[in-house]
Formats: sequence, C-alpha cells, structure tokens
Amino acid sequence: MGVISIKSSDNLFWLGRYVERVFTTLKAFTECYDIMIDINDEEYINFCRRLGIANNYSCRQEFISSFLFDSNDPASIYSSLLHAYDNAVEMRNVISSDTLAYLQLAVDVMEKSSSSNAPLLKVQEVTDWIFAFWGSADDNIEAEVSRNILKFGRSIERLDLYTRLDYPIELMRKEFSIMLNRLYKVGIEFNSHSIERLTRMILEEEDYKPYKISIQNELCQLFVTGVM
Amino acid sequence: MAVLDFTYNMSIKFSLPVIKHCYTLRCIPLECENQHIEDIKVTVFPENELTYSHDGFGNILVTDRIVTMHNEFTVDVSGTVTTGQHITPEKDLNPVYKYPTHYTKCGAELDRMFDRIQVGISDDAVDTALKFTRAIRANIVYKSGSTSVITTAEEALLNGAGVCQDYSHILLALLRKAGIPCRYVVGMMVGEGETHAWVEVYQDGNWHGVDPTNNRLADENYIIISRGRDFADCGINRGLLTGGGMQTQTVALKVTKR
Amino acid sequence: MYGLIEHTDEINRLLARYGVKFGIYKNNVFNERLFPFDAVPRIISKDEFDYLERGLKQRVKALNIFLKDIYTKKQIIKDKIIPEEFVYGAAGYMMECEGAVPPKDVFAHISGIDLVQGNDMRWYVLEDNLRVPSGASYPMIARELCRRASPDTFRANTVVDNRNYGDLLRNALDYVNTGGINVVLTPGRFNSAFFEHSYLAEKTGAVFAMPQDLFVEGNVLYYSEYSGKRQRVGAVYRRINDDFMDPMTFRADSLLGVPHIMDAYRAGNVALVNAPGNSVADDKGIYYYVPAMIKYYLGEDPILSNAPTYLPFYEEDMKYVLDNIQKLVIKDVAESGGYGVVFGNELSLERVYELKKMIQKEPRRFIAQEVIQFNDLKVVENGAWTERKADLRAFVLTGEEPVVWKSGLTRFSKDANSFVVNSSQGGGFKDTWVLSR
Repeated sequence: MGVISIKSSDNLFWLGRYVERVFTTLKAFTECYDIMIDINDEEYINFCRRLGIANNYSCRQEFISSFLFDSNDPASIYSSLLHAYDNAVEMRNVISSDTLAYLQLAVDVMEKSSSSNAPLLKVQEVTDWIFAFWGSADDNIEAEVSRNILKFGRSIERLDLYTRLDYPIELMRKEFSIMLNRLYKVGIEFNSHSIERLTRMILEEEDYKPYKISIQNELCQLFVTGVM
Repeated sequence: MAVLDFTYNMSIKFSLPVIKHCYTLRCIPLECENQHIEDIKVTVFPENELTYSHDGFGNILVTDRIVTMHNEFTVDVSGTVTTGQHITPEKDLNPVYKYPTHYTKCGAELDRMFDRIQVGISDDAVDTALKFTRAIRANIVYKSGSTSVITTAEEALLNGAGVCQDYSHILLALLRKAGIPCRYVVGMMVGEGETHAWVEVYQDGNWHGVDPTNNRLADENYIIISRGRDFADCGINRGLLTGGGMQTQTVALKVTKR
Repeated sequence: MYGLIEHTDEINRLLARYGVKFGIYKNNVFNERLFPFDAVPRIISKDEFDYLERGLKQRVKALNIFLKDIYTKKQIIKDKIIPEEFVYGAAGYMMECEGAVPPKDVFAHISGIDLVQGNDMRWYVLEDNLRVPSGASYPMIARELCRRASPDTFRANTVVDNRNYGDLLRNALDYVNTGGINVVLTPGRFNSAFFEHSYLAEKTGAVFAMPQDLFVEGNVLYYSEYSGKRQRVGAVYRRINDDFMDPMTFRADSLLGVPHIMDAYRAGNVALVNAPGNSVADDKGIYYYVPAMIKYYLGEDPILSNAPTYLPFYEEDMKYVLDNIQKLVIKDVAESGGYGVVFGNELSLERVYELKKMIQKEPRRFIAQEVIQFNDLKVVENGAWTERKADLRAFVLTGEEPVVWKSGLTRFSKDANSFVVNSSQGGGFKDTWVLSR
C-alpha cells in the first residue's frame, strides 16, 4: 500500500528525525557524561553550546536528570522520544504494530528510569530499542515510499546534528549522498538552489566546518519552494 | 396560474482572501406539485466543479469546493416559473413534520398562547393556520433586525418582535402542538427585496401555503425554493471558509408577473 | 487454563507494549489508560454459540430491513407495528438520510449487540449498537498475546481462532466498495478508541485517514496524496459520529468532518460504514420493538429475547412502572455509555418521587427494565478468585449475509456490586472463547 497523504508523509518525516535525534544525542550525551565523571564537572556547558540549546541547568546533576528524563524540558531526550512516539502512533498501520511497540518500550524505559544513579545503564536500553525499531521498520514497512520518507527524515536530522557535533567530513559526505538519493526517490518538491548550495559546501569545499551555520540554515530551507 | 420571471443576485465580499471554500447552496426553485420550472440559469463565482444534488427534503443543492484564492463570492439565479398549479398530489406524508424541532419547540409562553386560542380550532388546517396567524400578529410586530438566525419561536414571542422567519417558526410551533403537519418554506414573492419565508400546512394529501407575515395564503405570487422542518433545513448559503476575514453580503431579488 | 492465568501479568505487559489503551477525558484533560485484562476467558460452548449466532443474524437482518424501511417506505409505521412518535419524534431519526439507500442496501455493516446472561443461564439482549460499535480489537489482540503466553492452553482447548476479525471487516468493506480504496477514518489521536482505529487499519490493510486527508469534488470522495495525486475512495470505515461527519450537513462547528461527504454518500458514490442515520435503530425506545420487527419483516419468531422492558408510553406499562419503580432499572433514552441509568432500589424516597414525576411528564423519554440477575463471571484479582458482573458485546458483520464473529468483547465491572460494565466507567475485559466442538 503506497498511498500516503501530506499529513502522513509529515508524520513519517518527523518520526525519522526525532528517533535519530534521540539516538545521536544519546551517543553524544554518553561521551559528555564520561567527561563529567572525573575530568570536568561542567562539560555539560560545552555540550549545550555545541548542540545549540539553552543552558538552563544550574549544575551537573540537574543537567543529567533534566536533559535525559524531564518531559517538561523541550530539549530533553525524553521530549524528543515522546515527539517520535506521537508521530509513530498515528502511523501504526504503515509502520506496523511491532515497530510501534519498540518505541513504546523505549518510552516505558524513560518513564521508569528517572531516579537511577546509573542512568547510562538504563539509556542503553533505549538505544537497543531504537536499533530494534529500525530493524523492524526495514522489515515491516511494505511501501518503499514510506520507508524512504522515514529514512529521509533520519538523514536530514543526521546532517544537522553532525554539523553541530563536528562529525568528520567523510561521515558528512556519506550521509549527504544518502540523503540526496532518498530525496529523489521520495519525489517531494524541493528547493533546488538549497541543494546546489549544500552540494558545494559539503562535497566540493575542502571542509564543511566553516559553513556549519549555513548548512543548518539550508537544511531548514529545503522545502521552501516557489516565490517568497 | 401565473408565469413569474425572477432574478436573484447574492454577493459576499471578503476583507481578506479566502483560501479554501466549501459551499452548499439551496437557491434554485423546486420543481414540485404547485410550480413548474420553465427556464433556469445559475451562475456561481468562483466555481470548480459545480455539482447538483438533492437533500433529504427533496431540495436542490448546488455544491462545490474551491481551493483557489478569492475575495468575492457571487450567486446569480434567474428564470421563469409557472405557479399556482396542483399537478400531482404529494406522495406519503413524512411524519417528521408533525413533531417540534429546536426552533419550533413550545416553551411556557407558547403553551400559554396556544391555550388561549385553541378553543374553536376547526377541522380545516388552513383555517386553523389563518386563525393562529391572526393571534401571532396580535402578539408580535414586524421589525427587521429584532431577532437573529439563532432565535427560536419561543424567544421571538417573548421578544414581541420578529421577521418572517420568526412569524413562521411561531406558526409552525402552534400548528405542531395542534397536531397539524406543517413545514417551513423559503422562497420569493412578486416584487423586489429579499427572499421570504412562510409555512405550508398539510391537508387532504396536499400542502397549502400560508404566509403569517403578510396574513395571507401563499398563492401563485409565491415561488418556492426550499422546504424543511424549520429555518435550519433551508439555508440558502451554507459555507465553510478558511480565511476571508469580515464579510459583507448584499442581496438583490426581483420577481415580476407576466 | 491455569497456565494462562499464571501469565496474566505478562499478558498485561504485552498489551501495554502494543499500546492497547483507551482514552478518557476527565475534567477536560485527555489521558490514555490501559484496559485491564483478566485472563480467565468467558467460554461459550459450540451449541450455545450456534444458538446465539442464529439469533444475532436474525436480529441484525431485521434491523437492516427496518433501517431501509424507515428511510424510504415506512411500511412498519403505516402498519402500526411501531408508533410513529418513537421514530419521527425522536432524535435518532435523521431527516438528512431520508430517501438515501446505501450501496447494496447495507446499513449496519458492523453491529455490536450487547447481551447478558442471567443466572437462569438465558441470554438477554440489552442494547443494539448500530452506529459506531467499538471494542473488537481488544479480544483480537488479547488472543494473539494469550497464545504466546500459554500455548498449552490452546493446544488443550478447541477454541475457534478470533484473529480473523480484520478479514471479516475487510470483506464487509469490499462488498460495499463502490470502486476505490478502503479507508479507516479516525477523528484523530485524542479519540477514546484511537488504538482500535489504527489497529483495525493495520489489520484490514485499509488506508488510515484523518479528516484533512479526504475531500469531495463532484460528489466523489478522494484521498489526497502528498505527491498531489488523488485516490478515489470506495468505502469509508468511519469512526466519527454522524453529528461530526460533515460540517456542511450536520454540526457546522465540526472540525473533524469531511465537507460534502454526505452528498457523495447520497449520490451513491461512496459507502459509509456504518451508514449515517443508524441512530434510529439504537434508540432505547426502538429496542422494545425489535422482537415485533423480527416477526413483521421476517415472519419468524425471535430467537433471542430482550430483557423484560416496559414503555411508560403505554398506559398499562406506565402503571406497572410507577407501582414497581423500586425494583426496576430506569433508562433515559437520550443517554448512552452507561450514563442515564438508575436503579430504583438505590434511590431515596424523594428521588423516587421526582423520577416518577419526570416519567409522567415525559413518558417517551424513559424505558424501564426488570433487573436481570446476572450470571457472574470469575475473575482473578490480586491473585484471588472473585466474581464480577459482565456483559458480552457480540459483533455481526454484514456483507452479502450477516456473519457473526466467533468471539466478542466481554467487559466486567470495576466493583463486585456494580452493574455498569462500560470501559469509560472503569472495569476491564476478558477474551471470549467460542469452542469448536
């Protein structure tokens, strides 16, 4: 069944983005957490700056509990996961009950883990469920177009986060090629000037890092088409 | 019998562009037992895929869905109608016309009014309707703008003033309380101005028009557009808009007798 | 079966994993709740179910004919089997549907018939739900999970598989489809049965749509794709009530509806499942007349009984109701979902007096029923066996012929003494087993 409405394609796109946001920020958080154990108590300040989120945290402990588990903190991992779930729950028939269940399990872990003294042990389970989610999505989403939209969302989120987290250029280039490939397959109208500029900054320039902000902006402009 | 020519022009101007617009119009005179449509021309702007159908009352619907931006909406209907005939009797009576509706439910005031006048109700439904009409006219005065589209019969009576819609609702309420099947009619009268509303009562297999506002029978000088249980069933223009801002509506209507 | 009960907690955890929830509004805040599952099944023998099946088919057949009759010829009124005020003076009848005959004459594609079993072991029909009956998804997914949790139980018992509900539903949709895709239409995420809507879309392979995905042009219903293409829709399993379905015909303030969908339906271009206007058959006053309806339309004696019911509309019944009010249950015909139900024996003398006055003032508004002595069902609560009142919602799917789903939703009350089994009032559910021999 390859029949997808605008709203459904939007749900799939943002599902892909939010799941990826949870996954990649958890990875970055894990590194930051390690540094905070015995090297620098205030590493989280750098972390917030890199991600481009406001540092509203008064101390290390508050950062850890809030950024991971507080659904009232819009920047938190838990908030992103709930956004992913909100998009997924409307897509049960496309992604399958089994795929949805892996997000439900991840949500349940977050709900139960808020008071742990070893939070990384808990969030490891979230990472596990996300791997299961992608495996299940690959297997159970019948329509290619739906899979492509979902993964297109993932690619866009990756490109955005990779620039923030200074990922190596090779990874950027690889992900950008994947994204381009999916963009053409999905067949959504897009802003070709943005793609031209992104291609230049990521593939043709020696390093993308001087253009980080521009890349992030262009990613936002990707679907702004027509006369403004 | 009479031959009537009519033109109806409605225009709505919007202060902001309308982005999406669905509409249902009940603006075309009915082909029915007491009138025959000789000629009809309908122009709606804007249109996309103008569609004609019928509702549960047998009224003619004109519907469309517009997704192009517009600042104005116009409906022009003109044609010729032969009125004042009784060709075939109405098929079975739908009992729904016997029962009160939201607009025609009797409250305490209507109950009292009914009790005052019911003595001497005759077997003749039309006579009864005319008798009720005189009582209504003794209780309310015609005053445009004194009520709104949400005013019920009971509220209009308490208000002591109303327009054709309210006269008709009160008459319907009283008739239904007396057990006489009756319905609300939207249409046009010979002359110029706006659309009008009156009542039809059911007797001996036929519907008879009574105009409580003008205290007369709705005869060959009347053209029927739509009929229903009350005002709510006979909306001339029902629309669902995205955008549009403020609306300014103008209506021009002219009916002439040949 | 003990293997199953032993795993009750795991099964409930699996239900949570699959998001088996229902939503509830309390003080205007939307919350999703798990629907507690009791692993002890309701078991119906083959013979007993054969009997129910015959009775349910007969009842639904008659109700379908009734709906067509009411919106077209009205013969049952003319023949004075049902007084006209119970149809045309009541809220259930919808003039907007007058003269509209749905594709293949099917009005009630999915009927939810609520039954209870008395302690005399007889079954009584309590209610017919022909509008938007919900609940089939719960026993369907519960069975799937029970089979995982206790395979031995299902090796040892010959239980008819109930996981075919999606196929039955798809068949019913295909039968009336006017040419186009099947769509499950949900009002959205914040509907109490959202889980069920999305689950049934998955299980029927239909497209899952929100109102904004659909539009009508030229009296044809379309689903709009993100690419700008449109797909013609042939059948809509709509989980939106009539009132909210089409802002051009019904409530103008509805944001959940699809403008002009009623016009497409009246033009015969799309099947709405269930048909609009079915509320006239759900009316508690009409319920009283269903046995007479069966005789009138089918020339058969009704197989299933109603609970003994009185209509104060009739003088004789009025007298009985006023004299015996304290042993009766009084229902307001305008209410549903377990609301507007009062038990005479629970009322103070003052309230009895008030209620009597209300019944005398508006006899058409109430029905009265004898209180049925339920055959209570066993449940396990915190590891201990106890008993609860329970009902059974049987599902009848009508395509060319009515088919009874060999299962049903068994709901039980929250407290041992409560008679109210509605999920919105607390309470849980059980699987319903139909034995194959």
